[in-house]
Amino acid sequence: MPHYVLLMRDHSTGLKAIREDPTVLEGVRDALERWEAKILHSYRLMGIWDQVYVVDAPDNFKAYRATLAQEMGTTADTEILPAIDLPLFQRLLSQTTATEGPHQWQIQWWARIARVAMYPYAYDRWARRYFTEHKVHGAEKWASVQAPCIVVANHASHFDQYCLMKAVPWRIRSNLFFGAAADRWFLKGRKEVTLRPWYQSLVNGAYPIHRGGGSKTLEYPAWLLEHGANLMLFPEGTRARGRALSKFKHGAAILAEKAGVPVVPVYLEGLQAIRPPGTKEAKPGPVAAHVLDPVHPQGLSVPQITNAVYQQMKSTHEAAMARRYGADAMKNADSN
Amino acid sequence: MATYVMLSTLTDEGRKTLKERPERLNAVNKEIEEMGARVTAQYAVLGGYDFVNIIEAPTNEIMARISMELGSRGTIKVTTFPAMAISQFVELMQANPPRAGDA
Repeated sequence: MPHYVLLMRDHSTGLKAIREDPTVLEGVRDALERWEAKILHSYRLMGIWDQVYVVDAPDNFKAYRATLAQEMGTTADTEILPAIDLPLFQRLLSQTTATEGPHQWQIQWWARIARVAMYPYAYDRWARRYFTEHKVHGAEKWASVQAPCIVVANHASHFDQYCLMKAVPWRIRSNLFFGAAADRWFLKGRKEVTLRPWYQSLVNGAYPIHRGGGSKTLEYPAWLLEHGANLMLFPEGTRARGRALSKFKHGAAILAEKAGVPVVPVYLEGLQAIRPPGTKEAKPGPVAAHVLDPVHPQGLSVPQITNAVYQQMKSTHEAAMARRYGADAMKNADSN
Repeated sequence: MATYVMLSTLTDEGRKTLKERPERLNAVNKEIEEMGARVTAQYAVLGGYDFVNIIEAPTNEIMARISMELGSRGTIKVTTFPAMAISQFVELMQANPPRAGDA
């Protein structure tokens, strides 16, 4: 989770309160923890500021909200600064931000052969290591799906596509392309071979998406569909952080409507427990893929397509959450 | 994408460049986009600062990098603040803490 520096300067009332009862300082800890911020370091300071806390908080908003908690607000001036890990910042600076791709050659026959040949290395290896059990429900639903099609799934972890791929039949899998964030997967000049743009295009069948890019981001995937390729998209746009399913973006529906191809929702279960966002360690666990009813775009508007996909995903998601956390699982989930 | 407000002040050198080549300003927006963020609104202001830029960036890290890149050119001094929409702010203030405290 990101770190923040919280600076405090006590008012005279605050100083008096601390002097009379030094344990009131514990109030700061309670207030922060209630907003899911954890204190990593705390110091009493000499100089302009009286106290500094280095805290770990889920996001800018929660960090900000935590500092407004009443215990602090009335007895001290506070300022919260997002802090960026210095080694990480150095790495960022030495990296180029120029991106590469998309590579249209990725749909050529030789690229497809290379992808299939690399499959055990790029996919099976991870699936074997991290999935203690892999179930596919509703595989028969693929029978009615003709390529090209658009596969959509919920996004919980970097391992999602390993779980998903095993649930997709070979005729579609062998010609399936993923949208991947350009600023993460298509940076020029990465040292690791597996992180280089050409490797992403060739072995993973990925193509770059520029975040916040608007309708331009759909040009290349539309081109892929036109050339008979299948697409895979995560309509939540990014990995989910809470228990709730995020709102779906319309990109997949726009592409489906324009090209007249079906959207196949696949719900992935159990991935969040293996490697949630913000963690580096992964622990093996059971996963399942639920293939849901394909949505055919004929006669539907873009929001209707998105909704038809979303509703199916949502009910499957809620059932999965209830299995995992009990019937009240979704009661306090953040919805956005 | 999160929103950030970037206030910038021209240095003497920046003022000179801007006078000679005002169109240079647009090139900066393009560079910001290449670094993975987007300028959504931009104003030249009178007062303590010269420009107000509203920028959308995916993470604090990317925004920090942009501030650094722009600041390193010696043409502007920048100060960047994370911002939230007022509607989001109101929602946040009305929300209950995710964890109940003892107090």
